[in-house]
Amino acid sequence: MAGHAGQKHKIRVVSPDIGGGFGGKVPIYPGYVIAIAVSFLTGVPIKWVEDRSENLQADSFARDYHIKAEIAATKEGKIQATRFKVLADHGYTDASANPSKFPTGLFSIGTGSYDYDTAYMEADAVYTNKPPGGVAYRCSFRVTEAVHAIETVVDTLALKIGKDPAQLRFENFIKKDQFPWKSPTGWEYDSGDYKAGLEKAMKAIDYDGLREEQVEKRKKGELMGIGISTFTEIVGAGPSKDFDILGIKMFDSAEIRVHPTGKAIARFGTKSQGQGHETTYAQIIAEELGIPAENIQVEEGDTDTAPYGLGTYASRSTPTAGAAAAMAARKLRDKAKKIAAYLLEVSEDDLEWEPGKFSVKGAPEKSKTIQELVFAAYTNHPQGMEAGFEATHYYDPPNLTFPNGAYICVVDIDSDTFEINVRRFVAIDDCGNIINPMIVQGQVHGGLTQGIAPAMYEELLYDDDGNILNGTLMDYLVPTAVESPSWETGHTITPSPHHPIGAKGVGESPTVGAPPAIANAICDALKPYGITHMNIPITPFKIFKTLQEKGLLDTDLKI
Amino acid sequence: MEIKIKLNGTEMTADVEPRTLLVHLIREKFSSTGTHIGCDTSSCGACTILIDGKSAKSCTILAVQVNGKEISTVEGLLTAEGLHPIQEGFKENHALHCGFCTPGMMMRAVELLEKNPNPSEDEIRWGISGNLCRCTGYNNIVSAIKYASAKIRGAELPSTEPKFV
Repeated sequence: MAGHAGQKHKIRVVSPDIGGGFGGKVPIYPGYVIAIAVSFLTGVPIKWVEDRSENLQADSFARDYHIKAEIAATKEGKIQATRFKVLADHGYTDASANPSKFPTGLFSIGTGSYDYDTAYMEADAVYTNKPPGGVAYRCSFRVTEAVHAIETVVDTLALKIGKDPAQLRFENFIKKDQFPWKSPTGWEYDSGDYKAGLEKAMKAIDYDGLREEQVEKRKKGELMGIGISTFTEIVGAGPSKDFDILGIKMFDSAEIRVHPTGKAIARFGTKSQGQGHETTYAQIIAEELGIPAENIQVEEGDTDTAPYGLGTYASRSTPTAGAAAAMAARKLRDKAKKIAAYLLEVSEDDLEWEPGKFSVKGAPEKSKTIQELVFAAYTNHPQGMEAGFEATHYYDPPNLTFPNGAYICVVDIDSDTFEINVRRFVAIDDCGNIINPMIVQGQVHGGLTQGIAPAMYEELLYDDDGNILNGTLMDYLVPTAVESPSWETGHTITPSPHHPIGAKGVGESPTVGAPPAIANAICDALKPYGITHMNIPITPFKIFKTLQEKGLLDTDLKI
Repeated sequence: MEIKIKLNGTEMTADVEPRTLLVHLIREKFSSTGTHIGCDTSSCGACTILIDGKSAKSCTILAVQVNGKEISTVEGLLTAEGLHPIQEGFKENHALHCGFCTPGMMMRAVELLEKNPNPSEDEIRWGISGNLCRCTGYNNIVSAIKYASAKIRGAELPSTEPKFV
């Protein structure tokens, strides 16, 4: 906005701790603009507060994508081609982040984790009289929709040819040694080991045991379903050749200053909304520089002090700013090495690094700690070297990162009320090297609950006159601790070959991967009725209505 | 209207309009902004506080209704002895991300544990079902409450290491 007004140097944006974003905070809302304009006009500070009912009625929405997905395969189940035709409701105006170049999303990842070379995708976007639509809700522009399409159509294929959906996936996966893998829509998946992920998930949940149990249950007419999703995500926008916002490339940045005390402040162009950047970035710098993480203060969210950055969304913080942190720290390590060589009176080639100090090869007693070297950068540095110990890095990623996962869900459905109980849900994620396991797991837990939401609960409903029918959180069912199962999570680790520390983004993977696992489990449970597909959200009432309309309510469930 | 309450142990008085909501009294007059407003309709629980030890959603209670009562908010959890067990539980178990629901969630948990010091997982989940969290998926909040339960009972503390399959 400031850029448009040509007054960027006069405008300071300070963002203190804010609540979770998940994409809903990406667009510029009219209230922001009006508050600024009113402030200019009146000369007093203006606060704009949106209440919850306004939020539910008028905030941007996502996911209103109507996709016809087709899949072609041999009789044995080898996938040959897919075709997606999409009708996309974007409300009265598009709510995306407005990058002028952001080609990923539905088209980039719609072919999923499978090895085939023919794909066709088309999308018609329509304007309706709903609020701004198509916000990138916890995924990089329609990745959730794309993954839902491919993962559910793969299951439909398995059902039609009578093959176990896990087996069908094993037979079609892109293999570990095929990476980097050029996708039919032109993207290069960086790394993955899909087979290992699915094997781990199957073992953790006892897949074979569950299938045996299901056979017994079906003999008794009980509805039990097992659903799989083996998705690939595309995150970390993005390489400057492909991505920009009004011409500004989608790099991100880090600036590290280590004080003479050996304690550091690091500033970033991103902004945490609860993802734990303060911890993660400090750990990256600590690992590279050997300074304890607790001695590194991370600061974000102030345009006067932060290096220029493009912000936090689309799981891009670790792939871009996290990489920038490592690269800036490496610049500092290089400087520390020069100072160490000077102080120890050896050539740089004679030095070796272990986290926290440089020592002379073959004479480990001759060493300088990073704290000593930092102090020397201010007090006793070589002639001709710039004083101080700070570095900035603008990281332009060479490629996107492609985190992936194997999710398995078990549901039991009551054959009278069609109440759906998610009995177990195992999520194995692969986001490359993990910086902080607790934070990654926390992101996955939260994303899974946001994944169960569109699969079973959340939907904005309107009457024929366009009035919203569920405009409060009493009627719009955000999952509580009761709806949310006890998530079981784990990981495989396939480092990204191009990221400086081998990491990939992870925040959105669970939101992307969970809905099809749940939908597939529900359809698997409804197999005795001959149901092969249902649109989400799948509620007990929707199951009842579907069966009623198809005249299947009196089906003999014993198979 | 002049009202008198005890806020986290301290006598407070305020002159409020009859329409003033309790959450606005707490946040605006008493500057205790740890109590959050998430929905204004008592659906989300971010504004949960304790009135005479009983959890309540302060966004749909009038300030005048609590005249003469004792109010506890998140600010009252920390004492000279350090963090309250529930605060320690949240901290140790990574039970908050953005932190918006956390004060209400913790106040609800305080009452839950007061009434049932050793709740089952199911009792915890139903116990906090009036409090929404959009970030954590609840797993770690449940763990935090189990941790606080053990701490309060003097039982062995559960491991706070993340569990992976």
